[in-house]
Amino acid sequence: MDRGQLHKGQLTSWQMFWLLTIGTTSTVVFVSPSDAYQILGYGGWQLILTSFIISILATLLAVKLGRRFGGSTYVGCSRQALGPTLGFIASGLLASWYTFAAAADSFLLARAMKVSLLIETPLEAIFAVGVLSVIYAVWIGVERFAMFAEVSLLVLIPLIVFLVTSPLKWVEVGNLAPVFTFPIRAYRSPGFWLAAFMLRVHAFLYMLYPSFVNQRKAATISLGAIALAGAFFAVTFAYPVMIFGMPVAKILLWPFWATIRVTRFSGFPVEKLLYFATVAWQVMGTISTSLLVYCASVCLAEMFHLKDYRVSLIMLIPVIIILTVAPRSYTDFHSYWVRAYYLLGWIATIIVPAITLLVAVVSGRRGNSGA
Amino acid sequence: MVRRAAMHSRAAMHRPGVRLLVLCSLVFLLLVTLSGCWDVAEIDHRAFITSVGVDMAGDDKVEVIARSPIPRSVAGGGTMGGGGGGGPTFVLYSAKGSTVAQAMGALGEVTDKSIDLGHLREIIIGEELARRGVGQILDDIFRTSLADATAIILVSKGKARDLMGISPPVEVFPVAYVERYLHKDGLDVATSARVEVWNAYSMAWTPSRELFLPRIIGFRGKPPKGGQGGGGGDGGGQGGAKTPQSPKSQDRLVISGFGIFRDNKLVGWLERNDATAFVWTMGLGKGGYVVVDISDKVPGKKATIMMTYVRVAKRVRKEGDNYRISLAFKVTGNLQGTEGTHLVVKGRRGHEIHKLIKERTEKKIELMVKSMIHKLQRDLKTDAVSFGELVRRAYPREWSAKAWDDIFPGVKVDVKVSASITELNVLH
Repeated sequence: MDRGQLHKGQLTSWQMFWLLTIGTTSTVVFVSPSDAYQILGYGGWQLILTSFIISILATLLAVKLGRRFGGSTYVGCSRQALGPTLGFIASGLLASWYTFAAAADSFLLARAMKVSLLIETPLEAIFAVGVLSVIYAVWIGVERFAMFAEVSLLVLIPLIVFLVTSPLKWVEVGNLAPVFTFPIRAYRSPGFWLAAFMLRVHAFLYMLYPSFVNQRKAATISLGAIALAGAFFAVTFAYPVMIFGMPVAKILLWPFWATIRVTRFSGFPVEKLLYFATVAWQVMGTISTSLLVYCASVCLAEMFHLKDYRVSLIMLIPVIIILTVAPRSYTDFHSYWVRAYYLLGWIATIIVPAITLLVAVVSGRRGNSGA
Repeated sequence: MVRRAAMHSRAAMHRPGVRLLVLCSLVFLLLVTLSGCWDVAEIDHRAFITSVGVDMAGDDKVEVIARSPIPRSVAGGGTMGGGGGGGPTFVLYSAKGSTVAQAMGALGEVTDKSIDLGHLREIIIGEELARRGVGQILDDIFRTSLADATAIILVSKGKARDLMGISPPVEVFPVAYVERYLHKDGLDVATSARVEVWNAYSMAWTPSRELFLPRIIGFRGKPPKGGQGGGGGDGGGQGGAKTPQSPKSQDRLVISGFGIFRDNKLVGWLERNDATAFVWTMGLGKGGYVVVDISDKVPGKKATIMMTYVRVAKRVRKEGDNYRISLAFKVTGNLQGTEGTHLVVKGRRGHEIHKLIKERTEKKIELMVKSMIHKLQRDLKTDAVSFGELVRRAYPREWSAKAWDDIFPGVKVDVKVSASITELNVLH
């Protein structure tokens, strides 16, 4: 197979850093703080810390696999390490996770848009526009939409700084107390470990590793992205508690989103911060969903030996649409979809790749140009 | 075949004309779907609700009275006397339901326009309904994404319905009056504070806090004898050309004092000095006036101090099984008047009077705060000052919402005030 045609784009370290960061923070930020409050309450920061450590280990695993198999994608690694059949299954799991994650992101984005801005527009219409944007972004290739992500920082960074600093006047730091609570019982619950799959930087690496211009810096760049994403998660965890208090933060659907709802600028051209937030999130969400769909398309294209990932993209889109519209309510989404997303994430992006590396090490298999 | 199709599509995509077509199609689709004009929801087909009053209607229903501005009344005339061009500036709708959400939905039945809550800025809860509980109302309003979470929420003395038609003559729309009343950052209002929907929701559903809401009282303008004056006496802000003869001849809305709740039910009011002490203790404001009696040193004299800075540090500690709260106030004030007693003209005399005023101010503030806390502990039996939150933070393992209801009335509170009288204005 001609890998060069599949991976036309080469990503600079700077582009990769931002793609990984945006891909991690864009939409899961809606869900993860709620899990932290509900599972650990005031000690929710421990979930962020745990997910931070897990993500670092998983990232090192992804980099190790990439290096061992000469800069291949995960499809190539698993095929060489596990053999064609098991490798196909392992890659299939990863492609399924990308697809599922893209559907979950689309679901959240469309709902956020409807709730905050386009209240009377049917969800399907909002979703259709989102899908078209994602198709276009993926179609033009990772290199191009990485440039878009790079340029969008000019809008995103000031907006995010603005979003985080604006509700400061409502902040009551004491609401975070008691910080040092260690609900050990929570550590034994499956919910805690499921939710610890929060920072998904490593998951992108499996397919984007060959696109790095400088693959030696892959680990450093990824760890940087994890650090920034982790810091952002910490902010999204702490902010709603400092403003609403823990009892209310626990029952908010999207806690960080709710903090934006309470800020208003009298006489400002756009009075409600919500409009700014929506723009920022739509840009970030489009980038992250495009990244997930791109990874899924490339993964499937490699699995089926297609020369162009756009063919698998075309086949993938109906699946993503069906998965996105399948949950009939937010309760369905939160009860089943999010848990399935976590569970599949653990299996496809951590457990199976770890087994793959283990088998490769034990059997001494490595790629042609592996280090 | 699939590969050939893919290669063909890639080649086609790279043609500039095709890419332009794709881009144009995308832009067109964005225009159609994201312009916000779905189902012909034109601006003149909407009733923008700016204020909502909620009252009990019978034993188990609520009534919602909604105020919607009439834009043409602004376009057609000036802003005097509560009405542009002499006509009403707003219209009132009302509907009933088992819950606020249902009653709000039923508003659509009484108008040809679509009800739009995007500009909701004020919610007034009637006294009777507040005494029965506001938890459900807050939930109904905060939950809906259509309503603005930063809308002001108030509790009325009497029925909210009686306030909805009152239009103070200085503003075209009554909601603007309330907004500006609570938005000003002056030092003259220390008996009320702005509470927004999200604020109230947080207080209502945090077990270590109790809800409080600013109180609003309305006065309908009484036309003076002989039919002269009276601006905006009728609902909707009628007529503005007549000169008011007295404050009572015009519509008035006064926001002063607080409605205090226990378990989300109104149990009483804090007024005047108690309300001011509450504002200071909760860090809601810094203004207000303190008048101290210095007649024992300067016969027949009083000193008035305008507070310009108030800060309070709160601490909780345990003494045996009991909690003890310390409130340390640091205040700064300007001397506004001493009825002709000049302070520091020369020598010790002025210095002594200055010191006396400072000490009396400290004592007065201490008494005001203690009186307010006494009222909360003994009369209203509700922790509106959120001492429970202090205890929860300091002793999280011991704190229990249920037990706190019994503990709060017996909590010892120490108040210490340190005052500085910094400005004397233009007289010694």
